[in-house]
Amino acid sequence: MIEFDRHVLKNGMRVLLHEDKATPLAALSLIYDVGSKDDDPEKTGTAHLFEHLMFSGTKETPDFDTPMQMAGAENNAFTNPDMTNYYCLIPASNLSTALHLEADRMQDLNLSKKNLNIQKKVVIEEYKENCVNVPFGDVWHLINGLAYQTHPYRWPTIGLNEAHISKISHADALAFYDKHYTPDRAILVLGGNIDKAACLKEIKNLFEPITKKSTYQRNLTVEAKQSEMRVHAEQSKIDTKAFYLSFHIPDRTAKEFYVLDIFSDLLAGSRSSDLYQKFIKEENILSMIDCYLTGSKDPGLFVIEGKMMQDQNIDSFIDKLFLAIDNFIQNGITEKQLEKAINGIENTYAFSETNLLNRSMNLAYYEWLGDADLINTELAYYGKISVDEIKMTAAKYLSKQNASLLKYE
Amino acid sequence: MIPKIRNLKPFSFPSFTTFKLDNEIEVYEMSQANFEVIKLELVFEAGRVFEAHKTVARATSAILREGTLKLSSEELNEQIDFYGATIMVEASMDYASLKLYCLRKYLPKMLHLLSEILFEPRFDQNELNIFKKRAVERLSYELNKNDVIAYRKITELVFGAEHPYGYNSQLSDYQELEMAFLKKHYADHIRFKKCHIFISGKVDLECRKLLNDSFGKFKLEEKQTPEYHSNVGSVENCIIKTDNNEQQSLRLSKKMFNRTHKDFPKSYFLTTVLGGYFGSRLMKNIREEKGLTYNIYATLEQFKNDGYLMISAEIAKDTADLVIEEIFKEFEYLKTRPIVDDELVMVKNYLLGSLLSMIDGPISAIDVLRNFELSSAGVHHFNDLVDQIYTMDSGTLIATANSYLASEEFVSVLVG
Repeated sequence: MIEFDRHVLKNGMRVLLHEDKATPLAALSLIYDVGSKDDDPEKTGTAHLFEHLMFSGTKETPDFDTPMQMAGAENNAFTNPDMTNYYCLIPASNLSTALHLEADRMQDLNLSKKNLNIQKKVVIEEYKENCVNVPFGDVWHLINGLAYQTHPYRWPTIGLNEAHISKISHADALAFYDKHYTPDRAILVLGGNIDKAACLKEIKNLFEPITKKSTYQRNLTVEAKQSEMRVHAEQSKIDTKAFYLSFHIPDRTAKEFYVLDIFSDLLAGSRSSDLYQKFIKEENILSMIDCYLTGSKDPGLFVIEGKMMQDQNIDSFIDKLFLAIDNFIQNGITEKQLEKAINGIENTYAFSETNLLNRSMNLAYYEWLGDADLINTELAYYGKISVDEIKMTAAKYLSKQNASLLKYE
Repeated sequence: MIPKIRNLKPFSFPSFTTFKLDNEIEVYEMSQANFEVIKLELVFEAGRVFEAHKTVARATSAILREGTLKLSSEELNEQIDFYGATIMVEASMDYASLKLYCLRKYLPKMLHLLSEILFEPRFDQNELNIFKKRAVERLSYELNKNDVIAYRKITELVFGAEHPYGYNSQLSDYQELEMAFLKKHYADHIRFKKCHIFISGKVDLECRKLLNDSFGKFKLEEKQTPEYHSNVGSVENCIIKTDNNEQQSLRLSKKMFNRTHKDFPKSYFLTTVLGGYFGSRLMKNIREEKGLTYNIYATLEQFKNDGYLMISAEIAKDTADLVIEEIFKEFEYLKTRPIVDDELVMVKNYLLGSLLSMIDGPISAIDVLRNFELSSAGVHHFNDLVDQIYTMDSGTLIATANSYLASEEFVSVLVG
């Protein structure tokens, strides 16, 4: 059981405090409710580039990292299609430094043109490192582009291409800051060796004077229901052939998400899973297989990916794969299999809870999803799922007409 | 105004317990009763250094995990997964280790499986065939990545192409593997051989008894440890052209030493100033001022008998000459200009904070304990590291830079 207090400041910012006196450290996680789905379709990559700009410093503090490092902190951030999370682990005696700097950059960020230009170059190198200069680097461009035709999940977080990143202007960055970086769109979690009352007082002092409000109303296109299977064939630049088969599924908070999460573990998520045993161990058709859910806030994807052994043909394999999935849905899901999946999830939860930064980031994440209590109650959701529910739900979503196939051949 | 930052004070490695099983195997224990989990690791001296054939350490580890005399690979996986546990058998340069992560309530069952894996392996020929095919596929795939090619080449240059720390697995090394090699490696270095056991999480008296029942009842056999030979590395730089030329992988390296060397703490500090954290000299210069890379870093890599300093970056096309020149410029600054107090204090606090988080909670701390105990440094070297970071001064840093940052002693690899 992870205990926490929840507060809402006058400006709408949500604050969660989680005390753990066994550690000398404190963890901070600050989520802004903005992700790459909020990018301008002509300037994709803005949310991610902006995350880099948040380290630019303020009028008072020329750069963010120097005082954080001075305080003994390890800090970083990530952006995904849905949100941006800034986090750090810091000796508890210096937590005030981190709080002060976060409040400072929420209201007074120094967005210089010079730094914008440098960070655009850095992000373009990041783009090349991850998306261009490696085998299958464009995989998320292609999967997202195939599965989503209108929803902004159709572009990857880093941006659709280098040209988009290049043309983000100083005015764009300023507008993005005003639109998205406001306390009413922020969730702050502090965990670790903190004094909750003193912490709350300090947070109120630092953040409540920030009164700017966002006028942004998110109004994203709803992706139309897919009616037939989509296929995209890409020439593999290397000898390895690979496939990515994705299916549209409900959003992260839907009951069916949990059902499909269990199904993915059993289908191909572990060494005892059905497809691993069949295609890697018995038939030697694949050299690797994995299966996972994107877990996004808007309806996401169920993905099965694999690399082919030499001389194997993707098309004939995909036919076998659909048959194997159907067969597993009909005959493979038993009470015992369900118990196995739940035990696996319980184990993952138990180990994740041993780490302070994980606990704090998870609290922020669940609060952002809609209910911080999920950190304690989610496991019970899994426990209520039945074999029949898994069969029905898997059959409903893992159909050919709901599938998008990307193949590198 | 930013509130006054408090400088970190030195601290010691947290307390831990050691005890011996009936057969004298040493167990290191760090308990934390509030989490219902167990993390267990058995470490054998059975890594690459002990190989009679290349890749046999890795293959032996992989095949140990693929079935026991009683359970086929599939049955074994089903049992481990059924209890939600993770069991891994891994080989590194120096060690082979069996790792278990499970809920405390399932420990008895999992120890039973772990003990079967260790003492009654199946060595199934079909499993070896699958392992070989998959290893060849995986390697063929990895060899399409600049960073992989660069890492392979630089370690080969630093340690030598036939040296256990330097050799690179080739497709043929896997293809030539025979079950007899694996069985011999297992018999010579793992089965009934001395190991070190590290356990953390909710460790109680029953755990100790269970450990003794599983691993304390056999008689330890003597084993041969090959003498370690440190090769003189190459200083011939190397350029490898590939089709992935939107960027290039740059690596610079020189051989250093292991954790027990008297200069380890000083060079650890020096490496951090140079490229060990976000605010490092190299990050500031190459990334934050010039935008030539997403990430550039320097690390001090440690093996049991040796170590090396490596600088790594994926850099913008046609900028290698400039980047190398700037790296060497940073070497010169470190050798000649005293570090200013603000930066010195910043690196001290950053490093102390980072070490503090590495030992935060037994489940993290036990890995630090393992690394220091196995390298024969002993955990007092951790405390010494903390003290030397705390007392570092600019004169010592300059002297250390002059000892270890001679640009002509670095070898470089450029791939792309």
